[in-house]
Amino acid sequence: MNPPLNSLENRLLDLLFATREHDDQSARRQLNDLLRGDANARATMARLLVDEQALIGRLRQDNIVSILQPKPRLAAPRHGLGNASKSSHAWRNRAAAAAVLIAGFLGWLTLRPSSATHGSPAIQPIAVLRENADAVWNGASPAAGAGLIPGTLKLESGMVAIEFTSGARVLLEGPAELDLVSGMEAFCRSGKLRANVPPPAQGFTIITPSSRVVDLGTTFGLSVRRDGGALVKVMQGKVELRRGDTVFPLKENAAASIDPEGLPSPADSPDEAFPSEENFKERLAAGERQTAARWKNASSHLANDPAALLSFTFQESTDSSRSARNHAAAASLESHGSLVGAGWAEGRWPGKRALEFKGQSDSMLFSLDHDSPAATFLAWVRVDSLPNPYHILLMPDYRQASALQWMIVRNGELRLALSNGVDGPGSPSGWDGPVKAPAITSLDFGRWVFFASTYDSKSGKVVHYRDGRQIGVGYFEHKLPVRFRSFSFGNWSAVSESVSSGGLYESEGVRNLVGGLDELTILSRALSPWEIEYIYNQGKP
Amino acid sequence: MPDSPQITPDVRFIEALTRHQPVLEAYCHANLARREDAWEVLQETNLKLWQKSADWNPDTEFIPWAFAVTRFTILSHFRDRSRDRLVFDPDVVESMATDTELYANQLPERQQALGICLAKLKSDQRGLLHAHYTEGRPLREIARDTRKSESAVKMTMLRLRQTLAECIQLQLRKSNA
Repeated sequence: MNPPLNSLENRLLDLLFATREHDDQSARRQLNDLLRGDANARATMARLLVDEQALIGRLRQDNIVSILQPKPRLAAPRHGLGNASKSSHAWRNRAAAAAVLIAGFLGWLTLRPSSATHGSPAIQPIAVLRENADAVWNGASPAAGAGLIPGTLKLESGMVAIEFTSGARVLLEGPAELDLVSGMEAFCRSGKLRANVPPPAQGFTIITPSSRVVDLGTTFGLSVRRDGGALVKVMQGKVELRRGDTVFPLKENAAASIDPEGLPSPADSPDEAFPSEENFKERLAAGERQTAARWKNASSHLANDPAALLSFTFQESTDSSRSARNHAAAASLESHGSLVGAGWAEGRWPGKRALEFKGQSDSMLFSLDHDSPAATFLAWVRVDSLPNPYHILLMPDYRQASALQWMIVRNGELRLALSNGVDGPGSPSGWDGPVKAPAITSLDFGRWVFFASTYDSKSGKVVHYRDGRQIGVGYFEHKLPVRFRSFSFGNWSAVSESVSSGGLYESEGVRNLVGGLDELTILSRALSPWEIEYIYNQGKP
Repeated sequence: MPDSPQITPDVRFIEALTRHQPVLEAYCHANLARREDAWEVLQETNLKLWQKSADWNPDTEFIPWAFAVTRFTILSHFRDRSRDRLVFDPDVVESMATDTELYANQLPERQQALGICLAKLKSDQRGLLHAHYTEGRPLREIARDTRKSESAVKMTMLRLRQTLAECIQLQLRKSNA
């Protein structure tokens, strides 16, 4: 038997569903009247909405597979931002130029740059999250490869490897709470870890609520209990336990139990009581297999979306391939990619292939032939450095009016611009936009990042995303439809002398991307934020 | 010197702003009840907070200050929208202010409790919550794809929400005991 429904909660949620999903104005009035007249209803409503947000935040972290297969949202051709926003409100038409909004923080450890930052946005990390096996975080959720700055990591389950700038490597097993203090120091509030400290990092210290564990060049295991007490086991070399000025040395193979007051006593503990590299490797491999399977399924759905114009996954390629296959259902011969200079490398996970862009003339060329009122660009990109003023992601033929251009600027901004041909056909010195959003910092160098940008000519709206979350919104003035023709990825074609500097270019010259491309998708509709978040979650390494 | 004025906030500000994003988002959501509206207001608020970062004294609490800035953004959001596009009337939002602040502040604990509660659900129940809340699919779409009636899906959803609400309450009592 199901329990009876709480009538007030039930009534509020029911009215909320009707208001949000059916635009039911009578339900809306009833909801507001109920809230006006009843303090209890107001408190319940606030609680239900905060819990709704908590639910979204929570489910976002877990890789939950939707109950609905296949994804009709990805299969149904649809323009605009989907039902929810269509019925909810008309977007305010703001200044046509870029309205840069700082948002989309994935977690405070992976900082976004400010839009006002000039030059390469350098933030000094003290550690890097090297690998991640099924990590479920509470709060900051850094992905594998993310640079970490001082702050708290709350790992609820799973295992991660953190490598400090000093060279120390810590395997952390959830549930655990670790404060990163510096390259030489971390504070473990609770949880289990194994620290491997090479000679340069000698003196690396883990502080626990009851004592300090100072490493003298070794491997040790540490488990911090809820009461603040801890268990330390030296697997190799030696460590010192410090409590105030008192030092307790601990030799190889010795273990000590530390009480909540910080007093150690000899203990017996097998190495297996602590996280191990072998176990971690197994979990990583299992996780990678799962990720690859999940991604494969999602990417084939995406390639079969009626709006998919281009889908490069590079899975068909070999080391000697000089072309890339467009997997979109409607692919034409010209839409397959031709490589110029670019070579092959490992992608987001072992066995996933990616293109490598190193040389100044490296690029990939392809051609589409499609006009559409909207567009979405999706790309898994690894940026290794930002040495140039501009780093091209997608560059259209410069003579093409109504074409989109996508790039990353030296300060870490993602930009989208549309040639408006205002100066006459054939010389599009006029550009709509660029709409900009701060997207990456130096902490992201060398790791795979998911960039997405959408444009819808109905409203002129451009939305930028990074790793599935919105980072900026702006509007194109002329609301032109998009013409997809020839593109160059990772570079611009050698037509520099003809390109004017109208707004977009500060100087001529080198504009190549330095890094990698693991996947590229182009669609002729603007995906909704939820679809982009979904695609990111299915493809994240 | 660059020609445009630069805002380079204190590192403590950046840390506080990023750390409290979930709470600010929950606060926006509790006031607006629509994800897209909450997102838009959150982004505008972030921009304002960034511009006003010099006004914040790092020795004082961040959240009350950020909530105040958020309230202004919500007010201007109300001015820009026709009433029938909003879920709540402005006076209702105002009368809910104490409650929204109270519960938004509890977000971290509630989310943690929710983690335990979600683990107790069956995977298809989690999948249903995921489809509606995370992916933002309307109930009628879920009903269509699972070949159920919309009212049946709604009833399941109401029961799930109630189970979760009771479980969260229990977990919070446990952790405060």
